[in-house]
Amino acid sequence: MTDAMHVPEATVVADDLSKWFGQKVAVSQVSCSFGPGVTGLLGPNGAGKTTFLRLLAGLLSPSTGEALILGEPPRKNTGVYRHLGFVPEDEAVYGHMSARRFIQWSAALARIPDPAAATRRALETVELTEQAGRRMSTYSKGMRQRAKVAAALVHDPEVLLLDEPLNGTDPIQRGRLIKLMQQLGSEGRTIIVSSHILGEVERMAGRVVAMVDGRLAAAGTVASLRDALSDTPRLIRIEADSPRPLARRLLAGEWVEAVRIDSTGIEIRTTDAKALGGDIAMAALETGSVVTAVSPEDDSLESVFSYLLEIQ
Amino acid sequence: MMVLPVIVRSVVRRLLGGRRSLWLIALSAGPAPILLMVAQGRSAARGAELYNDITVVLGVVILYPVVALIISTAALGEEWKNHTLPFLLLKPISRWVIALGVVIATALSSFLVLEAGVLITWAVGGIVGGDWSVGIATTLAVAIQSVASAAIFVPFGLILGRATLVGLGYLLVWEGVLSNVIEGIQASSVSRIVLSGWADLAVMTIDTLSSVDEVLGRVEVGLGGAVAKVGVMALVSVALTGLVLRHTDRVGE
Repeated sequence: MTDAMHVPEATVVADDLSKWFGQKVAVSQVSCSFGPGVTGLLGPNGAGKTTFLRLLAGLLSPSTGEALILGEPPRKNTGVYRHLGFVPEDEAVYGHMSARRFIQWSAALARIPDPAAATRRALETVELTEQAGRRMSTYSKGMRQRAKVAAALVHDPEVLLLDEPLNGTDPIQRGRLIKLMQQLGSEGRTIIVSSHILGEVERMAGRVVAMVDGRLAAAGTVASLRDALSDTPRLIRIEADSPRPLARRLLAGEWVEAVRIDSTGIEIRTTDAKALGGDIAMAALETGSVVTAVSPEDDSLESVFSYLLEIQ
Repeated sequence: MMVLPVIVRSVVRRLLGGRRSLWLIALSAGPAPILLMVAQGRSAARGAELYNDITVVLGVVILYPVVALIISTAALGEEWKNHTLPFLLLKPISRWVIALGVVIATALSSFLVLEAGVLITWAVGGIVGGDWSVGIATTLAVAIQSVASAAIFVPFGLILGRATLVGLGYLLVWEGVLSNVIEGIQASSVSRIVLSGWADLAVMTIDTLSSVDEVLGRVEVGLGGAVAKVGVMALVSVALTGLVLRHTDRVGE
């Protein structure tokens, strides 16, 4: 792996970390580190992000390798949990408890001196004070997420692992949570946030670690990842009334790698979707073709990440 | 701050919080309406005798173990199924302290539910038999039953997906059939351990005593022995549950 996978002042380290469940490899030989600030753990659904975070948190034992939080393996040393907060992806909460009771319970189990005061602060941080007395079974998904974040923050941890914390939140709540992550990161805490949406990660994280099929695909700043994505070959479909002359004309462009023509249109594999997009209108004009639709055929995050994995 | 009482309180609240506990109390009180029906018009002495018979046959042998089983398998099994276990585990607390807290809380929850049923039956027994001492032995029996069931079924709930079903199979096959057929395993029968403690305190007629002796088989009557046995079972259970919490991946799934 490249140096982009590691940071100089690492607080969280994955060293050759692998996890398999029977025949299924969920995480494969992941070596990377995380330091203060917000890092986005990006990857499509099923990429192994949740398993990776659970390995880091010590909820799962690694098949090979080691996870270290502040230099200690959490699986063997539960004292690490004084400094670690974890927000699981599951919507599950203790429905019979109010958020206030849940957070105060978390504070008491974390053995902090004044659980009530810490609970008040945590509720204020996630802006849940007004609804804090209600049973969590009556909460929306977004409110549950905020309650879980407050419970993970109540003992003031140095390291915070959040598994898809923005799932189910409305745009306003999402904005608040993103602002909160940024604030916590700027205070010098290590925040690792998983998401399958690049735009979300881009808004909150300075650094991104991307996973595909249980492996590390890329790491670096959001800008460097975007640069890598712009080099990704794309499959573009063009619907036109006379596809053959249009295809012949488009083949002249150096960004076109391959073309396939059928009765209703053309599929073009290109190394530069932007340049191709600019050329389509000109080509249609020159050949007298009527273009009715242009759409990416493989613009899923999975395909982009698969490409990133191939170039490693 | 001591974390053990915090764990115990939260687990008890969760186990007793829903409608389930009301149903289980009703189940525990199952001997009461039957006692009321069969003791109508009988003498006070016969009423007390019927209380013992019905409590043993229906309560100690059938209903109390089932109720305690349901509560005990839910203690950690429910946390696992609801994906709430990480909230408890990702705390700076030894897994053995968590295990101890859960086993204590489970035994306490089972006892509270069973005792509510026992109190209802006791009241009926007192009214029809005129002897208000009859419930003391049953109270101790459900205390022993609660600890024994928590000891066996708390780790069961964490290890097995259908722990309640497996537990019912255990009660039926091991407790109900095998321990009646094979004398050598009677000492490990929880129902007999509970009954041996109950029989030490209950005031019984000769007939009832001989029936109990027959059921106990090779197990000696004695409250001390029963308490010692379930005490050892509880210690083993805490160690086993702690080990499972520490080593299995099931907690992180």
